[in-house]
Amino acid sequence: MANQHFQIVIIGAGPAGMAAALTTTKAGLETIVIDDQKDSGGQVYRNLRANQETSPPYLGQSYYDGAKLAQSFADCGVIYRPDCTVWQITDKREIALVSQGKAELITADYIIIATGAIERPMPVKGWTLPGVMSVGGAQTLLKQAALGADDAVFVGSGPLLVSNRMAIYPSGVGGSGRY
Amino acid sequence: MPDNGKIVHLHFDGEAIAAFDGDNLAAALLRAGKGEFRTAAKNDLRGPYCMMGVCFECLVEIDGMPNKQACQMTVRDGMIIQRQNAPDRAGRESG
Repeated sequence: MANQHFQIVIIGAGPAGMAAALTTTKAGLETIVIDDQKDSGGQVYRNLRANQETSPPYLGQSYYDGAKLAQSFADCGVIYRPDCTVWQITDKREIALVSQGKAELITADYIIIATGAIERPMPVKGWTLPGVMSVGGAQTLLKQAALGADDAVFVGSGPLLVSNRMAIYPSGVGGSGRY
Repeated sequence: MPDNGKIVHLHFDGEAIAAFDGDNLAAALLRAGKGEFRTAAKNDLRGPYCMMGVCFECLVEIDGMPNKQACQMTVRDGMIIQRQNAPDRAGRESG
């Protein structure tokens, strides 16, 4: 069976991957977006469509502002493959991926990698203990599952940590974060 | 909250746990007070850390299949989850 070929393959359906897809499809290029999550949005706009239904205020206006980009992405005519993990790219621009337990190979003229960023944790004694997690992980639990922690202690002073604490504190999903 | 009024039932190390239909598996277990998902070398306990599929600290065994990332899974009624324990390294120097 011939491998499927695309002019553009974008890896990642977060803000960058979605914006790239808007640009390439507008230019008339056949584009596929591959993402390992179940829904578009990446980490920043994670679970946005579901949260819009109830609009919990603790997620903040900038989060809901992502709805415009998400809607444009849904309407732009791109081929979108969620739940699909890329594990190799060869020098022939073959992209090896796994989807629903099945392996596939696709090829591309151009590949745009939009896999985003990960946090750089500062290891301290005990940082791998259950109950210790990155602030990004805590924020994901809020967005994905409306799960906060009443007795959370925040360590650090980065912007993500501050925004997450502000999200948790007035939300009622988990209350008295300290730091 | 992914609360559509439906509850599904999971088994975690043999214990019955109720979860919201559609909930993320790692979140459902944390909600039920289960934070210890696996053991690493030297039997260190590990649990969800990044919640976005990159740290692999939340690995569990699901329906007999090891190395599943709980933070990337959705609960399903009847799901059987086991803590994933590091291979027995008794007698080996573990650095």
